[in-house]
Amino acid sequence: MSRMRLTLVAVGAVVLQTSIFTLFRFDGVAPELPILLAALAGYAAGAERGAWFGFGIGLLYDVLLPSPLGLAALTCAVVAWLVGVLTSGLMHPTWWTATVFGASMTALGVGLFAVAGEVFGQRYVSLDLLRIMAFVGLLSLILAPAASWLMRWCYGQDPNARTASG
Amino acid sequence: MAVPRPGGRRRTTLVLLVLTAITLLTLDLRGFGPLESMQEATRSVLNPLRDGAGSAFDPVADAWNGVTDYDDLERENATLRAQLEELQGLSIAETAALSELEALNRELDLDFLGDGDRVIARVVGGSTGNFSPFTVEIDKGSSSGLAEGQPVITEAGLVGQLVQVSRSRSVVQLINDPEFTAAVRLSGSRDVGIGRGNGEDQRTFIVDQGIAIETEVTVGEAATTAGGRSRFPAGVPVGLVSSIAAADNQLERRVIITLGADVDNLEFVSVITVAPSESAEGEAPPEPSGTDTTLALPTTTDVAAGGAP
Repeated sequence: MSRMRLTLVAVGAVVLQTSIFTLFRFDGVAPELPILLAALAGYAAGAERGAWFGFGIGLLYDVLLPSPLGLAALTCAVVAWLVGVLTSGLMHPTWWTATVFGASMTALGVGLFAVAGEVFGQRYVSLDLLRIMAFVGLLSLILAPAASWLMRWCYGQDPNARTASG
Repeated sequence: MAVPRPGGRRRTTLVLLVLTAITLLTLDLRGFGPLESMQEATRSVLNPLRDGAGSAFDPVADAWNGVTDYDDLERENATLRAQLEELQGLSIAETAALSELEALNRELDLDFLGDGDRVIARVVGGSTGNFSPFTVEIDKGSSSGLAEGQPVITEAGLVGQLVQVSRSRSVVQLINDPEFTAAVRLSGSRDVGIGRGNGEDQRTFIVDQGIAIETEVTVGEAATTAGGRSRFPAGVPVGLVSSIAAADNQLERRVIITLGADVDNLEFVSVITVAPSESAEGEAPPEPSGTDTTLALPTTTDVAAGGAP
């Protein structure tokens, strides 16, 4: 059941990202829903399971991006893993910790995507990167509560509570 | 009995996934065929869903862009009004010039841009991510005969080339992408130079290789694709020379061309489906200078930049 939900959410998110979210840009910057969901998967299900989901959704996203295949998969897996590790010791997780972790790690994920892309011969790192990261972080703050709820639902958890399993 | 530590297992998972991603990246960058086929198959499944979602949200997106890009729209409106006035003044002279060019094309058998050689496509989206600002998506793909590398034009000139083609959609790399290069011929001197997109400025193209410093170049002269061994057919308009300076090496000229096509506001484009080698059949490779008769402009008028087909 959990796998089916995760697949559904991954496909839906990538379709949403590449068809609708690219139309709703703020100062030319679009939200990065796949990275945000990967981060929140790490938060909801821990580093290991989050990394697997991150890799899957990233790979699906890769297929529709002009960047080389594997770059988004790498980014999403690392982001999910990092969030899982960083939050595994949280004693009293609240809704806003998920929001803050999700948004900040998504912004960081955008930076990681650019740097990894640079390593693989793409020209993604520029002064504009910081602006893109900032806007992606802000947009993620808006989306994070709903995305967090969605990921807890995927993992069969009470959407109003968070259990660290990392 | 030793019990595996959870932290160790977590790290193993991460290492495994990172190595898999790096392997995929390496294979993709080397153009591994089966990987391309799998990507194309996945795109064929996802693209209809994207089409449906995109169509449903188009009006809302237009409203959003109207609000967030209001200042840009106002500026663009003013520019377009000025351009319209200028174009109205030029239209009579251009009509006469086009007639002459069409006659020349017929005589030289250079009419590669016949209706049969083009596929008209609608621009259905901009870049899909935050790191590919110089791409757009069009609603035609391999099922319409499109293939990677084919040139994309509007009536105003060269727009870019196809870099990713799936069954029903394709991604166009725009001419203003700094990674985009093309051989261009200046109409005055007939010299051929290599140009590239100027990402900072949406409407210019920089030619800084191949035009010798002693070559006479004038502001306002036309630049077209050079053809020959280039992947683009000869004679597709690129734009007009707007400034000239010396290149960094002081041996060549750095020519700035203002693009004919407004790549920022594309609605419909044409893809030239004839292979460059076919279109350039019988044509000599571009010479650095001297006489050349490959000046040809698109002769059909079914597509206008930013307009309906």
